[in-house]
This record gives sequence, C-alpha cells and structure tokens, in this order.
Amino acid sequence: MTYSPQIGAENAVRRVVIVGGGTAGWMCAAAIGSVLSKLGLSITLVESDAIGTVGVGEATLPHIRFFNQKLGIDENALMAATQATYKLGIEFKNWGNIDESYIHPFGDFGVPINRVPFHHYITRAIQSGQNIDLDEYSLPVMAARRGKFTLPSMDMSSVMSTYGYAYQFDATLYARFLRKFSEDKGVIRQEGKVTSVAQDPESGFITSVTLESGTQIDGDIFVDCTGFRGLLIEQTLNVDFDDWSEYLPCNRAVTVGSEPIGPAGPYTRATAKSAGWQWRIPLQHRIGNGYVYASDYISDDEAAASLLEDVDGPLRGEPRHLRFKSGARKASWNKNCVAIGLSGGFLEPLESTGIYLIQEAITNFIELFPSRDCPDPERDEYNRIMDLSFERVRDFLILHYVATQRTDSAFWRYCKDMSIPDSLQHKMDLFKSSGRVVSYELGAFKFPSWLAVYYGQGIVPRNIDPVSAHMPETALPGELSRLKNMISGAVNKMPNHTDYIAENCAADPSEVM
Amino acid sequence: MSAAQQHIIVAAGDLSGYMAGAYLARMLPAGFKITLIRLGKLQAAELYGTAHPDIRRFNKILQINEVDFITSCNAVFRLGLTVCGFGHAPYARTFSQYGLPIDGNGFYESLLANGRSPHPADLAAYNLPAAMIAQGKFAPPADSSKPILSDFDYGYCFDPAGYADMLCKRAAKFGANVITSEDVDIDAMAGRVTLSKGQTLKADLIVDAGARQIHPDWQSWTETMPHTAYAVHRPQTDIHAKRLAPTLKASASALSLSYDLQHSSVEIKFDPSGDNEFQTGRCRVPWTGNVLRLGQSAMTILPLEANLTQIAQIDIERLIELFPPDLGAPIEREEYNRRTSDFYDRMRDFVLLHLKTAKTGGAMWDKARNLKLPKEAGYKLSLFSARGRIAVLDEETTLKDSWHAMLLGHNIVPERAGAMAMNVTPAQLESNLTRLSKFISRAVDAMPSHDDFIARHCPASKRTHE
Repeated sequence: MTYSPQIGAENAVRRVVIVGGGTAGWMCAAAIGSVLSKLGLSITLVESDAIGTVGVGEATLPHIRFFNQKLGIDENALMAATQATYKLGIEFKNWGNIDESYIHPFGDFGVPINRVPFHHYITRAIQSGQNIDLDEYSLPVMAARRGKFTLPSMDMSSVMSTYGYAYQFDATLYARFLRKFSEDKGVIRQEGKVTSVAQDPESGFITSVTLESGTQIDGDIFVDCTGFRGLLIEQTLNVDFDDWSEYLPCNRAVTVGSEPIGPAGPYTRATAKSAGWQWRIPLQHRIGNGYVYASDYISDDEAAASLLEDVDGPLRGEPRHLRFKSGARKASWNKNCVAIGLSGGFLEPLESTGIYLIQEAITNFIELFPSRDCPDPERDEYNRIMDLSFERVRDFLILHYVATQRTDSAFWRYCKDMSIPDSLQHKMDLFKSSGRVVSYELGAFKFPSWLAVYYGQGIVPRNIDPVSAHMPETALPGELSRLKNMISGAVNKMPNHTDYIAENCAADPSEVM
Repeated sequence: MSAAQQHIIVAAGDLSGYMAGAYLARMLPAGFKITLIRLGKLQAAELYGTAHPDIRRFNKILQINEVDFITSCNAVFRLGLTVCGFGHAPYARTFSQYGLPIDGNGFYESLLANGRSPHPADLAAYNLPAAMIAQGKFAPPADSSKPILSDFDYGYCFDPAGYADMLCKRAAKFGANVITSEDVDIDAMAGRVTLSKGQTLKADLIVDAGARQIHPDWQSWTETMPHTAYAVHRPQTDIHAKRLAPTLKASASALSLSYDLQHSSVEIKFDPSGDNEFQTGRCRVPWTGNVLRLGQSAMTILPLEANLTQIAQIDIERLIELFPPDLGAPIEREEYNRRTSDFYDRMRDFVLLHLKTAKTGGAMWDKARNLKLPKEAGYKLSLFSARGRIAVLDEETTLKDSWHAMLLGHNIVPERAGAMAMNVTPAQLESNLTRLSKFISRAVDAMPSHDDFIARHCPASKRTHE
C-alpha cells in the first residue's frame, strides 16, 4: 500500500495575496509566513497608506499568547514594542444596574467540592443570608482590583495557577510589529489601492487584483482583510452578511486617547451609559477611550460630548468616529477567498473578541490550508467552525444587554425586553433554575465567564445543586473563608502591576508617540 | 428544596440500573429516598463486561477499593481494544495516543507528509499500551512527572454479575432500599411501580434501566445496524496469558466481541440465530415525564468500542450534574435530553462508520457498506477522507485518537495531509520514531507479564461465575 497524500505540484498553492493591512492583514501575513514557511509560498500583502485602518481591539483575550508563541514572538519584546499592559479581565460598571460593578476575570471561581462546582456553595451562602462578594473568590479579580500582577504559576495545585492573562496594547503598533516580523520572513508589502478584481469566468475564482498604478497581482488564494467594505468577499463575490443588529443594536463608536492618570490597572473597564457603553483601556503611554453606542438613541455629537465628559485625563488628539454593524458573513470562505477580520464578521468590542476572532480564523485556515482548487471539505469545516465561534460569542454578548434591571433610558428599555435567540434563552433559563451552565466544545467563553456575567448582573439561581447539601450548613462559612483568605494572602504577595511592567517589558520612552 | 422527601425508584434490569442505584444513593443528600429494584437475572450482562478507565473514577466515588473490585469481579486489566477483520490487518485502539507531536505537528500528519503508513497496525511500537497489549505486559501508569509512562490509562474486563452484587451493597450502605422483584410494571402517568408480588410503590422519578418496558418513542436503527440477536459462549477454563484488550472481530459471516476474565473467557457473537434479542435503536426522548430511561432501555447499540459501561456512567453522571430542584417540570430535564440525544447520536455515528468503512468480505458487509449515513457521520467521514481531520462536535466522548485509529485502521487514507506537517523532514521523523520506539520497548521489557501482575496483586479466588 502506498501513501502519497501530497498535493501535487500542479495543484499546490504557490501565491497568497492578502488584500488590506491593519491588524487582520498583518496577523495573517505573519502567521502564514512563519507557520507555513517551508511551503515556499510567495505572500504579498497589498495595502494603501491612503486608507486608514480601524485598529480596534486594543484589549485582547488570553488566546493571543498562544498565537504569538506559535510564531516564536518574545512576549516581553512584543509588550515593550506595543506599549502593552497586562489584562486580567474586564470591569463592567452600571450594567445590571446603576452603581453596580463586577469583573469578568480570566480565571476560576473556586474549585469543585464533592464534584459540585464552587458557585453552588456561593449561592447557598447568599440564600442563607450571608453577605457575599463574589469578587473575593477569584484571584484575578482581587489582583485586578488591587492593581497587582505577576505571571501565573505552573504548579496546578497552587491558587496562583487559577488565572490567565491577556494584553492591552496599541493595535496599530501590534500591526507594525507584525509587519516587520512578516517582512523578515519574506512577505512582500505592496503599496497601492486595488482598483479592479479579475475572476475566472468559469469557476468564479479570483485570479488577480489590479492596483491604481496598473500593477497586476496574481494569486491562488486571496485573503480579504479590507474591513467592513469587504472588497473581495462582498463587492466581488457577493456573499451575504447576517445582520445581528436586532440583538446587538450598538452600531457606532467615537474614540479618543488620553494622558494616563495614576498607575495603569491590569484590566479594561466597560461602563454602561444611556445609549451604549464606554471603554477605558490603560496602556503604558496612554489610555484608550471609546463610546460604543446605538445611533437610534443618541446623535454622533451627543455621543462625542458624552465620551469627553467621562475621560479622566487630558486628551491626546481629536475624537474619531466609526460606524459598524454587528453580524457575520454567511460563509466567510467562498471560492478561493477567505474573509478575515471585519470583512468576515464583526461583533462589538464589549468582550475584546475582535483579535480573538481574527486569530481563530487564521488558525483554522492554516490547519485547513487547501490546494488551489479549494475543495469543499476544507471550506465547509472552516465555515462551520467560524459560524459557531461567531454565534457563541454573540450569545454571550447579548447576555450583557438583556440581563439588566436598567429602565432609565429608551436604549436600556429596548435591551431589557428584546427577544433573544432560543439558544441563549435556554442557557439563561437553565442557569436561573439551578445554576447549571450550558457547555460546548468550540467557543471562546466557557463556564467561568458565563458565571461572572450571570452573578455580576444579578442573575442568581433560584435553587442550589442538591448534591451541595452534603456539606453541613455549619461548615459552609469556614470553607468559603478558607478560599477567600488563600486568595487575599496570594494577592498580598503579588507585585504591583506597574512595577512588574517596569521590570519586564517597559516601552522605550523615546518611542512614545 | 422542598422539605418533603422525594422518592426515586431504579428498576435495574441491566448493569446500568445497579450503577445508577449506587451512584444516586451516594450523591443525593438526605431528603431523597432511593429504592433499587433488582429485576431477576441481570440483562445483557456480558455486553457490559468491558469497562473504560472512567470506571475507576466511578468506583472511587462509591468508595469501592480497586483490589476488592478486581477480585470480586474476576477482573483483568484492559488497555484498549484489538480490532480484527475491519481493515487489512488487526490493530489496537488504546486509551492513549499513537506517537508524539513532532515539532508541534500532528503525528499522523507527519507520517503522511513523509509518505509513511499511518495504519495503526504498523505503529504499535509508538504506542506504549499497544506494545503492552502485543507482549502481554502490564504495569499501571507512572506518576504524572514521567511523560509517556504516565500517558495512558486502563479499565477492566470484568464480570458484571459480581459488580452488580457489589453495587447493591454500596447502594444499601449509602441508604438505598434494595429489593428484589422478578418483574415490574411501570405506570408512568401515575408515577407508580408495581412489583411482581403485587406491591405498589409511588415515586417522583422512575429510572427504567433495562426493565423491558415497551417505549412508544423508540427510534429503530435496525435498518442501518442490522443485528437482531446475539449468543454468548463462556468457556469455564483457566486462561493463561490473559488478553489486555477485548477482541472485536469481523468475519464474512459474523461480528463478535470476546474478552478474558481471570478464570474464564467470554465470547459474544452477533448472529440472528442467537438466543438474546438485540434490537438496535434509541429512545427519542430518554427522559419523559417522571420516567428516565437508562442502559438498554435508552439505547441499544453494537458495543464496537466496548464501552456500554461508560455510556451508562456518563448518563448517570449527567443526571446528577443536572439533577433538578423540582422534579415536576424541570428545564434540567430538557437539558438532559438535549445533551443525551446528541451523545447517543455521536455514539451511533462511531458505530455506523465502522460498518461503512469495514473492508470485510461477505454479503452481510456489502450490505452494511451501502448504508446511508446520517448527516453528521457523513460529514465526519468526508472531512477525514479529505484531510485526516476529526470534526469536533458537542457531546463527543470518543477520543480523537480512537477516531483516528479506527478510520486509518480501516484503510481510509486522507487524500491531503495538513500543510504544516510539510515542515517535518524525513530525518526529523526518523529520529523521532527511533527514539520513541526504543523508549517504549525498554519500558515494556521492564514490566511484568499481565498474568504475573495479577497473581501478585489481585488474584480472584477460583470460583464459578455464572
């Protein structure tokens, strides 16, 4: 028996053309250029200095660390080059109700006792009238609140191993960092605007793009990183976009940088406002601010004014306005074109999923990297995974809006009563009944994330897990305070976040822009 | 929780009921009354005689000591499954992976990219438990600081009747009422169980575990899994060189599963002339009203992964994980049904793909190969055939490595290897393979034989097991 599953030379992809720079474009170029370096591909990235990039996604999820590791990027060097700080989670202010705050951390709430997840014991304590602050049972939440950071321990028995972390960085600097990295790996950057796209008359496959200068770039695979306009996936291949605005009505943002005031915290803040919410992302050299809002409920000028009111330091530059629509491409890989980044789908940045979804797309595309004819099985599997990834993030985001008691504005009254997907309704009903979290294989947000938002926004289960009743009522306070003390003791020993950065990954002050 | 005591009756026809009775009694707190009804002779006993490693966790929770279990159940250690007659050569599926990733690339992809055979029959030297099975050697996994030596797991082949007796004792110890009845009549509407002597018990939840009630919502699989009966042979001889894995064997005329115990061996032959009825299929809705179906009442499936005990365990653990605070109209029941249905369908896919991909000669197999696959199974096969990749679906419990071994073992060779594995050079592959096989062969050489290990640590007294 012979095994020759190699793709024959005549059918192998030789030329990959990435249209559009920005975070998505350069992440693709860097990943394909390094992970598939032995394939001898020619990789061209076309971008135009005349077209601005959105540069959203200043805050990230822990997954990005694996992406960078796979590429062999040194973490400290990357952080220094992108003015990065560490991120332990997101603080949500005024979501469930005004004057409430919780942190959705990258980490666990306690460990199961007698095979019952820890949060059931928390619910029991709440039901028995104890005054419980869920924050105190999560190490990353306490560390974030106290401005502390150190790397997690590899010793799985230590409470210091119960969290992960991500970065808060300047996405434009990240793209620049990856551009240099990619060009070192042989990726060719081609300056210019695409003016026309040629397709094979029979298959409809894209064969080349032509620039303003007249230069024609031929390719076997085209990656559409052109942002919302979807130059290839939409304007050329006419692939539809699933609009999810009815569930996620925010469709604009106004952003501005500001001078840092006080030490940078190891977490992002998302404050709910009358027609949306405002982010605050502390980097080493500046704070990123942005008001994400629904244009049906507030005008652009009012939103800009409201943004500035809530910025706590001197401004850096002028506010910038962005427009978007939450939703996903129906099949983001069509023919020989795969749409990655905003062209493939967009979910508002509430849970910092922008870069995560780009990374998911790239990782899956590389794992399923096709032959020139882009066979169905590879494309179907890619689209199946990306559809699930988008849908599951979508449900998690909707939860933040629908799980509210706020009725102080038309926007919140809409959100509170809007109809939601059945998949989410079922998840919420199950949790409300007895604190069970629906599990799934693929998807960014797992068990602890759902817990954080449920409890943080006032959804406390009506009933506890009956098995938790094995623990006698009298043992409960002791068990809870044991964990609480372990966490606060560990946090006491952690260095300050800013000291940790200064020691490990401080940006060169001369490069501050 | 309401103060009134809730009553759960488990009607145990097959082993799943005994497992449920003991586990529910252990996990549910005071406030729940458990009645375990032993229904005459244990049903489908031999089908349950092969356990996945998960059973060790189950026994630990039930405070069943391992040596007690082995000696009471005439058990031997199990490292996987030997599969014969499906592909061009016999191969092993173990509770461990074949090979190691090479420079971050998958093992099979690296083999394929270098034009090497990915057939598991050619790879036993690169899978520690497969090598142990081949040489009849056994030692338990090392502590987790030792890679490879710690990276496998074991279950058992055992006598379900002995286990059922143990489980009854555990159930009683955890407060269950254990009674015997030749038969039961379940009145779902009234929430009532009538015993053969006429006594009637009322319950808030009735677990029908192989109680042989007729279910109106039974979805038959006999069209695609056409095995209607089986026969069991149990030679009562002393077995030397006891196998470390059951044998699944396909031949032109039959399909059989056989395994060794300490003092006997068991052969189950799926054959229309067998005296045990076997109608494959599943309940569309496993938990309806106050009756939850378990074991053979919930799903009857060819035990091609030899994991019926594991299926029962997963269902029972899921029931506890989702146990409703109110048995009246629970959303937890909906979630149980949603997950269990998906889980059963994934098990069905795994079995159907055995039949679909078998290379066995004979009219029976020609017919099986022509079966029309359900959507998900077809998807899985086409993705694997194209790329050697296993689609990850929710509620999947079959290890990725079992899928790989199964499809490659049945000579499904992916048309295209992963592009990343092109990075692995022949020299890199060669040195990786040599190092691994040397390490494994040294490790196996140092192990005692399976027979010696048992004789030394856990010999069962030689008595007759039914």
